[in-house]
This record gives sequence, C-alpha cells and structure tokens, in this order.
Amino acid sequence: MRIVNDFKYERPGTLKDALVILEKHQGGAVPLAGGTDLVVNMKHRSMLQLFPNAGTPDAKFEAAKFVQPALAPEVVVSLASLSELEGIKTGADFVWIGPTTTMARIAAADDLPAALGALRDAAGSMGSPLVRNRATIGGNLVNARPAADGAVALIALGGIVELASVDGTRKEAACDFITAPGCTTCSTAELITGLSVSVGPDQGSAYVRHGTRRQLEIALVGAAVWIQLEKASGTVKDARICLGAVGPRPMPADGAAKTLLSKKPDKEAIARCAEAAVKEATPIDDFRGSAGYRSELVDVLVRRALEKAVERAKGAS
Amino acid sequence: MKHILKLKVNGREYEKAVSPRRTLVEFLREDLELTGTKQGCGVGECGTCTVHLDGKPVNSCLMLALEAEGKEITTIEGLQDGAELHPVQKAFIEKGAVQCGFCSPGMILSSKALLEKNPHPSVTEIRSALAGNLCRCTGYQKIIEAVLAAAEDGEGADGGQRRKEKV
Repeated sequence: MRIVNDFKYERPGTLKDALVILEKHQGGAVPLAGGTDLVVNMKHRSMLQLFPNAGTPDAKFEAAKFVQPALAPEVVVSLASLSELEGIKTGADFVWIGPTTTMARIAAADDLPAALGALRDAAGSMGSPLVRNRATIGGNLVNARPAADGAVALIALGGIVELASVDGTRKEAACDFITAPGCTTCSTAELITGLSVSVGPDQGSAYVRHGTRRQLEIALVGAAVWIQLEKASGTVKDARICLGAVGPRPMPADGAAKTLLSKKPDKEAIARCAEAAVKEATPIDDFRGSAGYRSELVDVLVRRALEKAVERAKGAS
Repeated sequence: MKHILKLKVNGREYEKAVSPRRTLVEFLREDLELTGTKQGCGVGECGTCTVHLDGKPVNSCLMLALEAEGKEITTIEGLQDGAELHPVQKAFIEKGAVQCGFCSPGMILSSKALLEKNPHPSVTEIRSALAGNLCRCTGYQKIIEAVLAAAEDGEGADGGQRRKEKV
C-alpha cells in the first residue's frame, strides 16, 4: 500500500507562511499534523481505485463504482515546524491546547484540572499507543467523524475552536464546528490555531466509551459529561453532555443535561438523565452494532460518565 | 520533487534525497535497506512497522519520511550492542515469544518503550502498551511472559519485587 499520486511538500516555518500557502492553493492544499488519518486516506488501498472514474457511477468496472478514490492533494502543508501550534497552557480560569498536541501528551497531562478529565479520558482511549503518539487533538476534531473521541469530549467541555486565515482570526464553539460527517466550518484556507476551555471551581468531567475491543477500536458509543456543582448545596449548577456515534456528528444532549440542573446528582437524577439522553440519541444500525444496542449503551455510558464526573467535581477544589 | 532529508537512524546520520510520497517505513526498508522494520497493513492497525521516533514508538507506515527531518529514529537493528542482543530481544528468544517473527520487531520496540517508562509493568500495563501490535502466531501469552522476564532481568537485584500477577 503506497501513496501513488505525486504532491508538493511544503514545510512553512511560520503560521503566516502556512496560511499564505493554504490561501494560494484554495482547496488543493491540505495541512498535515499527525497524519494518522491523512496518510491513510492518501494511500491506494485497492486496485479498484486505479480504474478511471473510480468512486463514481461512470466507472467502467462495476465494483469500482463503490470505492472511495485515494485522496490526491496537490500540496501537503506540514505543520511540523510550527511550534506555536503545540503544547498545553494552563491559566487561572482557562486551559489552552495547541491543535498539534498529541493524544498521548494530553492523556498523560495529569496536571490538568478535573474539569478537563473527559478530554484526558478521550485522548487515552483513541486508537493504539502507537497511533496516540502521532495523532493530534486538532486532527481528531477537523476530521469530524461522528465517533471522534476528542471532539465528543471537547464539545461537552464547551470548548472554543480558534481559527486563522490570511484574512484574520475567528472563534467558534466546538459544538457548532462539526456540521456533518467529515464536514466542519473550517474552510480550505483556514487552520485551527488553538482550542480553549474555560475552567472554574467545583467542575469535573468524564468520557466513557464502549467498543468490542478495548483499544484500536472506533467507539460503538461514547459519552462525555461535564458538570459544575454548587458547593454549599451539592446540587448541579451547570451540566453539558455530548454523545458520540449515535448521530451524524458528535451530538450534544442538551435536554438530558437540563434534567440535572438544581438537582442533587443522586442515583435517581442520574437514571433520569440517562433516560433522557437515550431519547435524544438517534443511533443507526450498521456493521458495528445495532441501533437498539447503541441505545442501551447510551443509558449505561451516560450513567457511568456522570458518576465519574460528579466524583471528580467533588474532588476538585 | 525530491527534498533532502537529514535524520539520525540508529545513531548514524543520514542525508538523502527523498520523494514526498515516500513513507518512513519505505525509506527505512528501501533507501537505507534496514529491512528489520516490516510493513504489514500499511494503515496503522498491525504495528509491524513500529519504530522509535525520538524515543516514542510510532507507526512508521503513517509518517511521510520527510516528517522525520531532524529526528532520531531507532529500528530493531539499533537495539543490539555489538554482538550482544538487547535484554528484551534475549527474553523473546528464551521465552519462545517468536514464531514467524513478522510482528517481533514491533513487539520488541513497543516493549522496550514501555520498560523505559515503567520498569515494573503489570500484566495489564503490558497488554495495554502492546495493544497496537498484532501477532497471529503465539497468541500473546509468551510475548507477555517475555516482557515480564525482561523487566525482571532489567532490575537486577530486586528482580523478585515484580508484581505477582497471574500471567
């Protein structure tokens, strides 16, 4: 399995240069971070891909109509020299994560506040140890798969995506960033330049997923819960829930989160919240699992994530 | 258009003209003729192409060779010290953790990375660290025994301290 198509390799030394290259090639240039998705998509995986018009109804050979042609960008823009896109900064009321920070680094960042527990859980459960040493959080988000662990967690945390192009910068809430499977609001001339999460006291979050194997598996269902407690009364001040792989994109379950507000997060409230999340989820049958099984998993995983998030919020000062 | 790639492989500096579409595993096997690293699935699922990139195990089939500019790569060929095999390699031979041998370079490199970070791993920690490396012969049992044995050897006098867990 090789990359058959030739392309130009650019490795800009500054963010500005990178944005100029992206702008110049309008859609013909793709940014390369960890490459764990991009390089796979650029490889030829089947002889069928070599038939003319492969992947379209015009392909001469019947089976070639249904294969995805290999991705063939004109230019690959390596982000490897842009050190300003990598790293974790912790402030008094925020955490900033560079988009090219690897999943392994986020999973190992034990100095992150409990509010970001879900992101660490997600980063540590994605792919294999080998993949996590290369895969980046920005890549996980921009690839926009419905089961993307990092994206599901980031949405539950209320993360903000910072983007830049030659025309300037903008910010977008993570929950609005992914629009459809594989689609985001990030244009071909834009780059993600940062991910920020605001943090406060008595917050905790957790991400729990289930697959048929523990690693190297796309989540059958994933659930991320973020919670803020009212210290004096022990009730829920604010909550956010996001579900993975039960809709066309990571799916915020706002109705379920609302059932928790001003309630003590006891067994009853947690069960009611999970029940509401099941109603909000829109799972489908596919080769990895049935819709019925996925609904069952939403119930179990939301409860587990919620219990863990409450525990972490209580432990947080 | 080819680019000049400068990197260190197994302690030796190399400078070669490389096409952008060359992956790191192709560069190692075909340009440097270091065929100890294998290419299996080519999509990051089997781990036979595992190499250390600045000390961390990665899938070399998922990396463009040019992305390794200025980096230090260790392949299976770089583990032995002269004629002396690395303790993990010895343990794999002693415990019979090798059958067809195709996964062994990757298994050994992932094990070495684990033992450097965690010299006394539990069975669960070993299984987790090797989750990205697939073996279709031995059924993993002997591989895990070999890593435990290497951990015991590595720590010398307090070898008996390793966690007693059912293998």
